[in-house]
Amino acid sequence: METLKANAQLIEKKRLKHAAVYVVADSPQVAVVEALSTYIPIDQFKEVFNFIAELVAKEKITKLVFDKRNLTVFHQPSMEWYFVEWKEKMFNLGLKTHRKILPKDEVFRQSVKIGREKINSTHPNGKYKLMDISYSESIDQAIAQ
Amino acid sequence: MVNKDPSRESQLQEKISDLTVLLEAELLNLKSDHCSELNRIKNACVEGIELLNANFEKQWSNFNNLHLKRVLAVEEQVIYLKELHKSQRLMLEDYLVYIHELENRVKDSTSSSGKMT
Repeated sequence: METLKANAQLIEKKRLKHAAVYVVADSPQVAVVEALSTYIPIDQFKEVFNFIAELVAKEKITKLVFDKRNLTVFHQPSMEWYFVEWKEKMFNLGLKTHRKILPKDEVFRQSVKIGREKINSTHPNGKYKLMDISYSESIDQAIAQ
Repeated sequence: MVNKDPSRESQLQEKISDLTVLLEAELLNLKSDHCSELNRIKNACVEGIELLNANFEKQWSNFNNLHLKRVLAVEEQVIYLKELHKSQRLMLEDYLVYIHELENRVKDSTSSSGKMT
């Protein structure tokens, strides 16, 4: 499984079994979260993103790159919490730019699409709609874009 | 004829008495040496047993910790796989809903185009 651990431009902030958090050395306002396994259990997912929330508050993070390339299983309840609760709080703290790197797996990509549509229909007025969210193909592109 | 010289007899008696004292002293020494040797052996054995016991306890504790770690890792893996299974099921259900929606859209569009013709 590929990992960003060896990437020289990233400084590791936290490592759990299924996810790791970094900040970019040259751009400390950019944080990167990397999925380390095919699936992140919801408790660990929340633990990681709550840690990022602390980082956003302490280190004035304004951009988050979520590298999902190792994931194969999409978990809608985690995504709903991430979009509706977590992103809402982060918006108020100044984190408004999100870049995502998806796996090549078409099943996962389609699941993301279905999940987003579901969230859009159930939470049409969420603050996530005011954020700059887009997809990238590599970590360098995601950081630069 | 038996020589009944009393001075010689008393000399002999005295000698026997001295020898008995010497013998008793020697016996006492032997007994004490034997006891201290036994004690030494006993102490060595006790020390050896204590060392073996401590080693055994240490190995047993290491083995227990290792076993516990493995059991916990397996339990953690089982919990992870259960959650993974649930998530896959959820993903599949969302796919089914999506497919049904697509089917309904196709049905609606074919029925509306049928009405038009």
